[in-house]
Amino acid sequence: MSRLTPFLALLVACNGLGGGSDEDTGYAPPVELATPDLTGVDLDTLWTEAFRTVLAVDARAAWSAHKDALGLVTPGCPDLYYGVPPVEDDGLPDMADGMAWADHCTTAGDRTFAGHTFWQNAASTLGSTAAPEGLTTTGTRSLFTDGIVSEGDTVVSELDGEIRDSLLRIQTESGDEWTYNSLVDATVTGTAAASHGMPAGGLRADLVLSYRGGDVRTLEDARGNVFFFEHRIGDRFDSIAIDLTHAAPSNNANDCPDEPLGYISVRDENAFWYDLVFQPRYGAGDEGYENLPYTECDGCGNIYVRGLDQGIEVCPDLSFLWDGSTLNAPVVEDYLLSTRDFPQGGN
Amino acid sequence: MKVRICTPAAWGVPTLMLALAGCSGSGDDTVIDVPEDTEPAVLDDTAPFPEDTSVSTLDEEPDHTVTLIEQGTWSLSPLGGPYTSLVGTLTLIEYIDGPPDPQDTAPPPCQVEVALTGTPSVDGNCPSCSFTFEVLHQVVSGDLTQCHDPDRPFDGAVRRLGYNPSTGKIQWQQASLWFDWYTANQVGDQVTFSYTTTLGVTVEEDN
Repeated sequence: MSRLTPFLALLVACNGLGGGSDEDTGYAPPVELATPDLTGVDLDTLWTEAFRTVLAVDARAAWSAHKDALGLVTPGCPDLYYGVPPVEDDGLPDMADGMAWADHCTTAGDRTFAGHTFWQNAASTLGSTAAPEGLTTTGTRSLFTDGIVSEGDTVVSELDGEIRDSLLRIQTESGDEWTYNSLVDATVTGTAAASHGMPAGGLRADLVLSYRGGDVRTLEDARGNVFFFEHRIGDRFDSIAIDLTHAAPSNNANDCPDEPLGYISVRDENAFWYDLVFQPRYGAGDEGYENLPYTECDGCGNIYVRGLDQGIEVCPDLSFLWDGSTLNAPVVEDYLLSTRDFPQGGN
Repeated sequence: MKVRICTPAAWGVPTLMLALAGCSGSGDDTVIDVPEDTEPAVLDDTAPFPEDTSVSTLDEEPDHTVTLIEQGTWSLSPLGGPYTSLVGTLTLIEYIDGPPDPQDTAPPPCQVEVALTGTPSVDGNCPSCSFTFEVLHQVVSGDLTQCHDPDRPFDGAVRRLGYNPSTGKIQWQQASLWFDWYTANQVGDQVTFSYTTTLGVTVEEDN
Protein backbone atom coordinates (compact mmCIF):
# COMPACT_ATOMS: atom_id res chain seq x y z
CA MET A 1 0.00 0.00 0.00
CA SER A 2 1.22 3.43 -0.83
CA ARG A 3 2.28 5.66 2.06
CA LEU A 4 -0.19 8.22 0.78
CA THR A 5 -3.17 5.96 1.04
CA PRO A 6 -4.03 6.94 4.66
CA PHE A 7 -3.92 10.53 3.67
CA LEU A 8 -6.22 9.98 0.79
CA ALA A 9 -8.60 8.21 3.09
CA LEU A 10 -8.36 11.07 5.51
CA LEU A 11 -9.13 13.61 2.83
CA VAL A 12 -12.16 11.61 1.76
CA ALA A 13 -13.25 11.34 5.37
CA CYS A 14 -12.82 15.01 6.03
CA ASN A 15 -14.72 15.89 2.92
CA GLY A 16 -17.49 13.53 3.81
CA LEU A 17 -17.79 14.98 7.25
CA GLY A 18 -18.01 18.45 5.92
CA GLY A 19 -14.83 19.52 7.69
CA GLY A 20 -12.82 20.80 4.71
CA SER A 21 -15.11 22.22 2.07
CA ASP A 22 -14.70 25.71 0.73
CA GLU A 23 -18.14 26.48 1.94
CA ASP A 24 -17.40 25.50 5.50
CA THR A 25 -14.05 27.29 5.70
CA GLY A 26 -15.47 30.45 4.28
CA TYR A 27 -13.09 30.29 1.37
CA ALA A 28 -14.17 32.19 -1.68
CA PRO A 29 -12.22 32.47 -4.90
CA PRO A 30 -10.74 35.91 -5.34
CA VAL A 31 -12.97 38.34 -7.09
CA GLU A 32 -11.40 39.82 -10.12
CA LEU A 33 -10.63 43.46 -9.51
CA ALA A 34 -12.67 45.62 -11.76
CA THR A 35 -10.83 48.39 -13.53
CA PRO A 36 -12.10 51.70 -12.21
CA ASP A 37 -14.46 53.50 -14.46
CA LEU A 38 -12.84 56.24 -16.51
CA THR A 39 -16.09 57.40 -18.01
CA GLY A 40 -16.26 61.15 -18.11
CA VAL A 41 -12.52 61.61 -17.72
CA ASP A 42 -11.01 63.64 -20.55
CA LEU A 43 -7.96 61.45 -20.91
CA ASP A 44 -6.17 63.65 -23.44
CA THR A 45 -6.45 66.61 -21.09
CA LEU A 46 -5.60 64.49 -18.07
CA TRP A 47 -2.30 63.32 -19.49
CA THR A 48 -1.45 66.72 -20.85
CA GLU A 49 -1.87 68.02 -17.32
CA ALA A 50 0.24 65.16 -16.02
CA PHE A 51 3.06 66.15 -18.36
CA ARG A 52 2.85 69.78 -17.26
CA THR A 53 2.77 68.77 -13.61
CA VAL A 54 5.73 66.43 -13.63
CA LEU A 55 7.88 68.88 -15.55
CA ALA A 56 7.28 71.45 -12.80
CA VAL A 57 9.05 69.21 -10.31
CA ASP A 58 12.61 70.37 -10.85
CA ALA A 59 15.30 71.72 -8.58
CA ARG A 60 14.53 75.35 -9.31
CA ALA A 61 11.48 75.68 -7.09
CA ALA A 62 13.20 73.81 -4.26
CA TRP A 63 16.28 76.02 -4.49
CA SER A 64 14.12 79.13 -4.47
CA ALA A 65 12.35 77.81 -1.39
CA HIS A 66 15.75 77.30 0.21
CA LYS A 67 16.67 80.91 -0.57
CA ASP A 68 13.38 82.11 0.87
CA ALA A 69 14.13 80.18 4.05
CA LEU A 70 17.59 81.75 4.25
CA GLY A 71 15.88 85.11 4.13
CA LEU A 72 14.39 84.30 7.52
CA VAL A 73 17.74 83.69 9.20
CA THR A 74 18.44 85.82 12.25
CA PRO A 75 21.71 86.01 14.17
CA GLY A 76 22.19 82.67 15.89
CA CYS A 77 19.02 81.09 14.61
CA PRO A 78 19.88 79.00 12.86
CA ASP A 79 23.61 78.48 13.34
CA LEU A 80 25.46 78.80 10.05
CA TYR A 81 28.41 76.68 9.11
CA TYR A 82 31.21 76.64 6.64
CA GLY A 83 31.24 73.16 5.15
CA VAL A 84 29.24 70.09 6.09
CA PRO A 85 27.50 70.47 9.45
CA PRO A 86 28.28 68.06 12.29
CA VAL A 87 25.05 66.07 12.16
CA GLU A 88 24.21 62.42 11.67
CA ASP A 89 22.95 62.17 8.11
CA ASP A 90 24.13 59.53 5.68
CA GLY A 91 22.90 61.68 2.83
CA LEU A 92 25.45 64.39 3.48
CA PRO A 93 28.69 64.40 1.53
CA ASP A 94 31.98 64.05 3.33
CA MET A 95 34.00 67.15 4.02
CA ALA A 96 33.25 69.57 1.23
CA ASP A 97 33.20 73.25 0.44
CA GLY A 98 29.84 74.85 0.90
CA MET A 99 27.66 76.32 3.58
CA ALA A 100 25.06 74.96 5.91
CA TRP A 101 22.56 75.78 8.57
CA ALA A 102 21.95 73.32 11.37
CA ASP A 103 19.91 73.98 14.47
CA HIS A 104 16.70 73.50 16.37
CA CYS A 105 15.70 76.99 17.36
CA THR A 106 12.90 79.52 17.36
CA THR A 107 13.40 83.21 16.84
CA ALA A 108 11.60 85.97 18.66
CA GLY A 109 9.43 86.32 15.58
CA ASP A 110 8.24 82.72 16.00
CA ARG A 111 10.30 81.45 13.12
CA THR A 112 11.51 77.92 13.71
CA PHE A 113 14.46 76.18 12.10
CA ALA A 114 14.68 72.46 12.73
CA GLY A 115 17.21 70.16 11.13
CA HIS A 116 19.91 71.05 8.68
CA THR A 117 20.64 72.00 5.09
CA PHE A 118 24.01 71.92 3.37
CA TRP A 119 24.29 73.70 0.05
CA GLN A 120 26.80 74.29 -2.69
CA ASN A 121 26.51 76.55 -5.67
CA ALA A 122 28.76 77.89 -8.39
CA ALA A 123 28.36 79.88 -11.56
CA SER A 124 30.69 81.13 -14.21
CA THR A 125 30.73 82.86 -17.56
CA LEU A 126 33.67 82.67 -19.89
CA GLY A 127 34.30 84.30 -23.25
CA SER A 128 31.89 86.31 -25.30
CA THR A 129 29.36 85.70 -28.00
CA ALA A 130 31.66 87.46 -30.44
CA ALA A 131 34.51 85.03 -29.83
CA PRO A 132 34.76 81.95 -32.05
CA GLU A 133 34.27 79.65 -29.07
CA GLY A 134 31.40 81.79 -27.86
CA LEU A 135 30.17 82.65 -24.40
CA THR A 136 30.13 79.66 -22.09
CA THR A 137 27.89 79.84 -19.05
CA THR A 138 27.83 77.18 -16.35
CA GLY A 139 25.87 76.86 -13.15
CA THR A 140 25.64 74.13 -10.55
CA ARG A 141 23.90 73.97 -7.22
CA SER A 142 22.94 71.27 -4.77
CA LEU A 143 21.09 70.81 -1.52
CA PHE A 144 21.59 68.00 0.97
CA THR A 145 18.92 68.59 3.51
CA ASP A 146 16.64 67.40 6.25
CA GLY A 147 15.20 70.61 7.53
CA ILE A 148 11.97 72.43 8.24
CA VAL A 149 11.54 76.18 8.43
CA SER A 150 8.27 77.53 9.69
CA GLU A 151 6.63 80.75 10.74
CA GLY A 152 4.10 80.15 13.45
CA ASP A 153 2.00 77.21 12.30
CA THR A 154 2.88 77.69 8.66
CA VAL A 155 5.56 75.53 7.11
CA VAL A 156 7.56 77.82 4.87
CA SER A 157 9.84 75.12 3.60
CA GLU A 158 10.48 71.49 4.33
CA LEU A 159 13.19 69.86 2.27
CA ASP A 160 14.35 66.35 3.00
CA GLY A 161 16.69 64.62 0.60
CA GLU A 162 19.00 65.58 -2.22
CA ILE A 163 18.23 68.25 -4.79
CA ARG A 164 20.56 69.50 -7.49
CA ASP A 165 20.68 70.88 -10.96
CA SER A 166 23.11 72.22 -13.51
CA LEU A 167 23.18 74.46 -16.54
CA LEU A 168 25.60 74.55 -19.45
CA ARG A 169 25.02 77.13 -22.14
CA ILE A 170 27.14 78.11 -25.14
CA GLN A 171 26.12 81.18 -27.08
CA THR A 172 27.68 82.55 -30.21
CA GLU A 173 26.54 85.24 -32.59
CA SER A 174 24.95 82.58 -34.74
CA GLY A 175 23.86 79.96 -32.29
CA ASP A 176 22.64 79.06 -28.84
CA GLU A 177 22.74 75.66 -27.18
CA TRP A 178 22.02 74.80 -23.59
CA THR A 179 21.49 71.76 -21.42
CA TYR A 180 19.67 71.66 -18.13
CA ASN A 181 19.74 68.70 -15.72
CA SER A 182 17.73 68.38 -12.53
CA LEU A 183 17.43 65.82 -9.76
CA VAL A 184 14.82 65.99 -7.03
CA ASP A 185 15.22 63.00 -4.75
CA ALA A 186 13.45 64.53 -1.82
CA THR A 187 10.36 65.48 0.05
CA VAL A 188 9.40 69.07 -0.71
CA THR A 189 6.62 70.83 1.13
CA GLY A 190 5.78 74.30 2.30
CA THR A 191 4.42 77.55 1.03
CA ALA A 192 7.71 78.70 -0.48
CA ALA A 193 8.09 75.88 -3.00
CA ALA A 194 4.46 76.25 -4.00
CA SER A 195 4.96 79.96 -4.58
CA HIS A 196 7.80 79.10 -6.95
CA GLY A 197 5.82 76.75 -9.14
CA MET A 198 5.71 73.40 -7.40
CA PRO A 199 2.27 71.89 -6.97
CA ALA A 200 0.86 73.05 -3.65
CA GLY A 201 0.54 70.68 -0.74
CA GLY A 202 3.92 69.04 -0.99
CA LEU A 203 5.35 66.02 -2.72
CA ARG A 204 7.82 63.21 -2.51
CA ALA A 205 9.86 62.76 -5.68
CA ASP A 206 12.67 60.74 -7.12
CA LEU A 207 12.80 62.39 -10.48
CA VAL A 208 15.43 63.20 -13.07
CA LEU A 209 14.69 65.79 -15.74
CA SER A 210 17.12 66.62 -18.49
CA TYR A 211 16.48 68.74 -21.54
CA ARG A 212 18.24 70.72 -24.20
CA GLY A 213 17.26 73.97 -25.77
CA GLY A 214 18.40 76.62 -28.10
CA ASP A 215 18.95 75.52 -31.65
CA VAL A 216 18.06 71.90 -30.86
CA ARG A 217 15.28 71.21 -28.39
CA THR A 218 14.88 67.85 -26.78
CA LEU A 219 13.39 66.45 -23.62
CA GLU A 220 16.34 64.14 -23.19
CA ASP A 221 15.16 62.32 -20.12
CA ALA A 222 12.23 62.39 -17.76
CA ARG A 223 12.59 59.48 -15.39
CA GLY A 224 11.27 58.68 -11.94
CA ASN A 225 8.18 59.22 -9.90
CA VAL A 226 6.34 61.81 -7.87
CA PHE A 227 3.70 61.42 -5.19
CA PHE A 228 1.66 64.51 -4.41
CA PHE A 229 0.45 64.78 -0.85
CA GLU A 230 -2.50 67.02 -1.62
CA HIS A 231 -2.43 68.04 -5.25
CA ARG A 232 -4.57 65.95 -7.55
CA ILE A 233 -4.24 65.71 -11.29
CA GLY A 234 -7.69 65.86 -12.76
CA ASP A 235 -9.03 65.97 -9.19
CA ARG A 236 -8.36 62.25 -8.89
CA PHE A 237 -4.77 61.17 -9.49
CA ASP A 238 -2.07 61.56 -6.86
CA SER A 239 1.08 60.17 -8.45
CA ILE A 240 3.04 60.18 -11.66
CA ALA A 241 5.65 57.75 -12.90
CA ILE A 242 7.55 58.48 -16.06
CA ASP A 243 10.34 57.11 -18.22
CA LEU A 244 10.31 59.04 -21.41
CA THR A 245 12.22 61.00 -24.00
CA HIS A 246 10.93 63.31 -26.69
CA ALA A 247 12.45 65.53 -29.35
CA ALA A 248 10.99 68.69 -30.75
CA PRO A 249 9.48 68.53 -34.22
CA SER A 250 12.05 71.10 -35.29
CA ASN A 251 14.79 68.62 -34.53
CA ASN A 252 15.54 67.19 -37.94
CA ALA A 253 17.19 64.16 -36.45
CA ASN A 254 13.92 63.07 -34.95
CA ASP A 255 12.31 60.11 -36.70
CA CYS A 256 8.97 60.68 -35.06
CA PRO A 257 8.36 64.30 -34.15
CA ASP A 258 4.82 63.68 -32.97
CA GLU A 259 5.31 61.11 -30.27
CA PRO A 260 7.54 60.53 -27.26
CA LEU A 261 9.35 57.31 -26.56
CA GLY A 262 8.47 55.65 -23.28
CA TYR A 263 5.57 55.92 -20.88
CA ILE A 264 3.93 58.19 -18.38
CA SER A 265 1.65 56.77 -15.73
CA VAL A 266 -0.80 58.28 -13.30
CA ARG A 267 -2.15 56.66 -10.16
CA ASP A 268 -5.57 57.23 -8.71
CA GLU A 269 -6.28 57.50 -5.01
CA ASN A 270 -7.23 53.81 -4.92
CA ALA A 271 -3.72 52.94 -6.09
CA PHE A 272 -4.63 51.91 -9.60
CA TRP A 273 -1.89 52.83 -12.03
CA TYR A 274 -2.83 53.84 -15.56
CA ASP A 275 0.15 53.54 -17.86
CA LEU A 276 0.10 55.54 -21.04
CA VAL A 277 2.58 53.77 -23.27
CA PHE A 278 3.97 55.44 -26.35
CA GLN A 279 6.54 54.09 -28.72
CA PRO A 280 9.05 51.93 -26.90
CA ARG A 281 12.07 53.60 -25.44
CA TYR A 282 14.71 51.46 -27.01
CA GLY A 283 17.53 50.05 -25.04
CA ALA A 284 20.94 49.44 -26.50
CA GLY A 285 20.57 47.08 -29.44
CA ASP A 286 16.79 47.20 -29.42
CA GLU A 287 16.38 49.54 -32.32
CA GLY A 288 14.32 48.56 -35.24
CA TYR A 289 11.70 46.15 -33.97
CA GLU A 290 8.12 46.93 -34.74
CA ASN A 291 4.92 46.09 -32.97
CA LEU A 292 2.21 47.80 -34.90
CA PRO A 293 -0.05 49.56 -34.12
CA TYR A 294 1.79 50.51 -30.93
CA THR A 295 4.87 51.70 -32.70
CA GLU A 296 2.96 53.91 -35.08
CA CYS A 297 4.13 57.49 -35.04
CA ASP A 298 0.75 59.03 -34.39
CA GLY A 299 1.25 61.03 -31.20
CA CYS A 300 -0.93 58.66 -29.25
CA GLY A 301 -0.31 56.08 -26.59
CA ASN A 302 -2.30 53.17 -25.26
CA ILE A 303 -3.53 52.82 -21.70
CA TYR A 304 -2.51 49.76 -19.75
CA VAL A 305 -3.85 48.86 -16.33
CA ARG A 306 -2.07 46.14 -14.38
CA GLY A 307 -0.27 45.26 -17.58
CA LEU A 308 -3.44 44.80 -19.61
CA ASP A 309 -4.14 46.85 -22.69
CA GLN A 310 -7.40 48.69 -22.09
CA GLY A 311 -7.92 49.37 -25.76
CA ILE A 312 -8.01 53.09 -25.07
CA GLU A 313 -5.90 55.46 -27.09
CA VAL A 314 -4.83 58.77 -25.59
CA CYS A 315 -3.35 61.64 -27.54
CA PRO A 316 -2.10 64.34 -25.18
CA ASP A 317 -1.29 67.73 -26.60
CA LEU A 318 2.44 68.12 -26.05
CA SER A 319 2.93 71.18 -28.20
CA PHE A 320 3.45 73.24 -25.03
CA LEU A 321 6.81 71.53 -24.64
CA TRP A 322 8.21 73.56 -27.49
CA ASP A 323 6.40 76.88 -27.25
CA GLY A 324 8.85 78.35 -24.75
CA SER A 325 6.49 78.17 -21.79
CA THR A 326 7.89 75.16 -20.01
CA LEU A 327 11.30 73.76 -20.93
CA ASN A 328 13.36 76.87 -20.31
CA ALA A 329 16.92 77.39 -19.19
CA PRO A 330 17.51 79.08 -15.88
CA VAL A 331 19.57 82.26 -15.91
CA VAL A 332 23.05 82.05 -14.50
CA GLU A 333 22.18 84.55 -11.78
CA ASP A 334 19.89 81.93 -10.28
CA TYR A 335 23.00 79.97 -9.35
CA LEU A 336 24.50 82.78 -7.33
CA LEU A 337 24.01 83.01 -3.61
CA SER A 338 26.37 85.24 -1.70
CA THR A 339 28.01 83.76 1.34
CA ARG A 340 28.09 87.26 2.82
CA ASP A 341 24.44 88.20 2.98
CA PHE A 342 23.68 86.55 6.28
CA PRO A 343 23.24 88.19 9.64
CA GLN A 344 26.33 87.86 11.75
CA GLY A 345 26.71 86.92 15.37
CA GLY A 346 24.62 84.91 17.78
CA ASN A 347 25.04 81.29 18.60
CA MET B 1 -13.40 34.00 18.55
CA LYS B 2 -13.74 30.50 17.09
CA VAL B 3 -11.52 29.05 14.39
CA ARG B 4 -12.03 25.92 12.38
CA ILE B 5 -8.89 23.95 11.57
CA CYS B 6 -8.64 21.21 8.97
CA THR B 7 -5.63 20.99 6.78
CA PRO B 8 -4.24 18.14 4.73
CA ALA B 9 -1.08 19.98 4.10
CA ALA B 10 0.87 18.58 7.05
CA TRP B 11 2.33 15.20 6.17
CA GLY B 12 3.38 13.48 9.34
CA VAL B 13 1.86 10.94 11.66
CA PRO B 14 1.48 13.16 14.73
CA THR B 15 -0.02 15.84 12.59
CA LEU B 16 -2.18 13.26 10.95
CA MET B 17 -3.53 12.13 14.30
CA LEU B 18 -4.27 15.65 15.31
CA ALA B 19 -5.92 16.29 12.02
CA LEU B 20 -8.06 13.19 12.37
CA ALA B 21 -9.12 14.29 15.80
CA GLY B 22 -9.92 17.71 14.48
CA CYS B 23 -11.96 16.36 11.63
CA SER B 24 -13.88 13.73 13.54
CA GLY B 25 -17.52 14.19 14.34
CA SER B 26 -19.65 17.03 13.18
CA GLY B 27 -18.35 20.37 11.98
CA ASP B 28 -19.27 22.03 15.26
CA ASP B 29 -16.98 19.72 17.18
CA THR B 30 -13.98 21.10 15.30
CA VAL B 31 -14.43 24.58 16.65
CA ILE B 32 -11.90 25.55 19.28
CA ASP B 33 -11.82 28.58 21.47
CA VAL B 34 -9.07 31.10 21.10
CA PRO B 35 -8.36 32.73 24.45
CA GLU B 36 -9.15 36.36 24.73
CA ASP B 37 -6.12 38.60 24.43
CA THR B 38 -5.74 40.15 27.84
CA GLU B 39 -2.27 41.53 27.19
CA PRO B 40 -2.03 45.30 27.01
CA ALA B 41 -1.63 46.69 23.55
CA VAL B 42 1.94 47.02 22.43
CA LEU B 43 1.26 50.54 21.28
CA ASP B 44 -0.69 52.34 23.93
CA ASP B 45 -1.83 55.56 22.41
CA THR B 46 -4.11 56.58 25.24
CA ALA B 47 -1.53 58.99 26.62
CA PRO B 48 -0.50 61.84 24.32
CA PHE B 49 3.09 62.23 23.27
CA PRO B 50 4.49 64.88 25.57
CA GLU B 51 4.70 68.22 23.95
CA ASP B 52 8.00 70.01 23.99
CA THR B 53 7.05 73.27 25.59
CA SER B 54 10.61 74.47 25.98
CA VAL B 55 11.66 75.23 22.49
CA SER B 56 14.46 77.52 23.57
CA THR B 57 16.28 74.69 25.30
CA LEU B 58 16.59 73.00 21.92
CA ASP B 59 18.69 75.80 20.57
CA GLU B 60 21.96 74.19 19.64
CA GLU B 61 25.39 75.70 19.40
CA PRO B 62 28.28 74.70 17.19
CA ASP B 63 30.89 72.57 18.90
CA HIS B 64 33.53 74.45 16.94
CA THR B 65 33.68 77.81 15.21
CA VAL B 66 35.89 79.30 12.57
CA THR B 67 36.72 82.98 12.55
CA LEU B 68 37.50 84.18 9.06
CA ILE B 69 39.53 87.34 8.55
CA GLU B 70 40.25 88.72 5.10
CA GLN B 71 42.04 92.02 4.86
CA GLY B 72 44.22 93.85 2.41
CA THR B 73 45.16 97.00 0.57
CA TRP B 74 45.01 98.36 -2.92
CA SER B 75 47.63 100.87 -4.02
CA LEU B 76 46.42 102.80 -7.02
CA SER B 77 48.34 104.71 -9.64
CA PRO B 78 48.98 107.14 -11.11
CA LEU B 79 48.74 109.38 -8.10
CA GLY B 80 45.47 111.20 -7.96
CA GLY B 81 43.95 109.18 -10.76
CA PRO B 82 42.28 108.42 -12.99
CA TYR B 83 43.69 105.08 -11.98
CA THR B 84 45.10 102.72 -14.54
CA SER B 85 46.96 100.30 -12.30
CA LEU B 86 46.41 98.46 -9.06
CA VAL B 87 48.79 96.47 -6.88
CA GLY B 88 48.03 95.14 -3.47
CA THR B 89 47.86 92.29 -1.03
CA LEU B 90 45.16 90.16 0.48
CA THR B 91 45.64 88.10 3.63
CA LEU B 92 43.30 85.28 4.58
CA ILE B 93 43.46 83.91 8.11
CA GLU B 94 41.14 81.48 9.83
CA TYR B 95 41.15 80.68 13.54
CA ILE B 96 39.40 77.60 14.82
CA ASP B 97 37.61 78.20 18.13
CA GLY B 98 38.84 81.74 18.52
CA PRO B 99 42.19 83.50 18.34
CA PRO B 100 45.15 81.35 19.35
CA ASP B 101 46.92 81.56 22.65
CA PRO B 102 49.54 84.34 22.43
CA GLN B 103 52.10 81.77 23.54
CA ASP B 104 51.28 79.66 20.51
CA THR B 105 53.53 80.93 17.76
CA ALA B 106 52.60 78.31 15.19
CA PRO B 107 50.69 79.82 12.25
CA PRO B 108 47.12 78.65 11.79
CA PRO B 109 46.55 76.10 9.02
CA CYS B 110 44.78 78.73 6.94
CA GLN B 111 47.05 81.74 6.68
CA VAL B 112 47.47 82.74 3.06
CA GLU B 113 49.16 85.72 1.49
CA VAL B 114 47.83 86.72 -1.93
CA ALA B 115 49.40 89.26 -4.29
CA LEU B 116 46.97 91.42 -6.23
CA THR B 117 47.48 93.12 -9.57
CA GLY B 118 44.77 94.89 -11.46
CA THR B 119 43.95 96.54 -14.73
CA PRO B 120 40.95 98.74 -15.35
CA SER B 121 37.86 96.89 -16.40
CA VAL B 122 36.81 97.53 -19.96
CA ASP B 123 33.74 95.29 -20.12
CA GLY B 124 31.78 96.74 -17.28
CA ASN B 125 31.95 98.98 -14.25
CA CYS B 126 30.02 98.56 -11.10
CA PRO B 127 27.22 101.10 -10.70
CA SER B 128 28.17 103.96 -8.40
CA CYS B 129 31.78 102.76 -8.25
CA SER B 130 34.56 105.25 -8.69
CA PHE B 131 36.77 102.63 -10.32
CA THR B 132 36.53 98.98 -11.32
CA PHE B 133 39.45 96.62 -11.90
CA GLU B 134 40.10 93.14 -13.17
CA VAL B 135 42.11 91.86 -10.22
CA LEU B 136 44.45 88.88 -10.54
CA HIS B 137 44.93 86.87 -7.34
CA GLN B 138 48.22 85.00 -7.00
CA VAL B 139 49.07 83.03 -3.88
CA VAL B 140 52.43 84.02 -2.44
CA SER B 141 52.43 81.79 0.63
CA GLY B 142 50.14 79.48 2.53
CA ASP B 143 47.75 76.71 1.58
CA LEU B 144 44.28 77.74 0.40
CA THR B 145 42.99 74.21 0.76
CA GLN B 146 43.20 74.62 4.53
CA CYS B 147 40.66 77.44 4.41
CA HIS B 148 36.92 76.97 4.76
CA ASP B 149 35.39 79.97 3.00
CA PRO B 150 33.75 78.48 -0.11
CA ASP B 151 34.22 81.82 -1.87
CA ARG B 152 37.92 82.15 -1.23
CA PRO B 153 39.82 83.13 -4.38
CA PHE B 154 41.74 80.36 -6.02
CA ASP B 155 45.30 80.87 -7.16
CA GLY B 156 45.16 82.66 -10.50
CA ALA B 157 41.59 83.86 -10.13
CA VAL B 158 40.65 87.09 -11.85
CA ARG B 159 37.83 88.94 -10.17
CA ARG B 160 36.11 92.10 -11.33
CA LEU B 161 36.08 94.33 -8.27
CA GLY B 162 34.89 97.88 -7.91
CA TYR B 163 35.04 100.42 -5.12
CA ASN B 164 31.81 102.13 -4.20
CA PRO B 165 32.61 105.18 -2.05
CA SER B 166 28.99 105.88 -1.19
CA THR B 167 28.54 102.54 0.56
CA GLY B 168 32.15 102.04 1.58
CA LYS B 169 32.19 98.63 -0.06
CA ILE B 170 34.29 96.79 -2.55
CA GLN B 171 31.90 94.91 -4.77
CA TRP B 172 32.49 91.70 -6.69
CA GLN B 173 30.71 91.02 -9.96
CA GLN B 174 29.43 87.53 -10.55
CA ALA B 175 27.52 87.20 -13.81
CA SER B 176 25.45 90.37 -13.96
CA LEU B 177 25.18 90.78 -10.20
CA TRP B 178 27.36 92.90 -7.93
CA PHE B 179 27.82 91.59 -4.40
CA ASP B 180 29.12 93.62 -1.49
CA TRP B 181 32.34 91.83 -0.66
CA TYR B 182 34.59 93.88 1.57
CA THR B 183 34.13 96.85 3.83
CA ALA B 184 36.55 99.40 2.39
CA ASN B 185 37.94 102.87 2.89
CA GLN B 186 39.91 105.01 0.47
CA VAL B 187 42.55 107.41 1.76
CA GLY B 188 44.39 109.16 -1.02
CA ASP B 189 45.48 106.56 -3.54
CA GLN B 190 45.17 103.66 -1.17
CA VAL B 191 42.16 101.53 -0.34
CA THR B 192 42.13 99.32 2.74
CA PHE B 193 39.53 96.63 3.01
CA SER B 194 38.48 93.76 5.25
CA TYR B 195 35.84 91.18 5.97
CA THR B 196 35.45 89.08 9.09
CA THR B 197 32.88 86.60 10.27
CA THR B 198 32.53 83.70 12.67
CA LEU B 199 30.57 80.61 11.69
CA GLY B 200 30.27 77.05 12.87
CA VAL B 201 32.55 74.43 11.43
CA THR B 202 33.05 70.70 11.62
CA VAL B 203 36.47 69.75 12.91
CA GLU B 204 37.82 66.32 12.23
CA GLU B 205 38.84 64.92 15.57
CA ASP B 206 42.22 63.22 15.90
CA ASN B 207 41.89 59.53 16.61
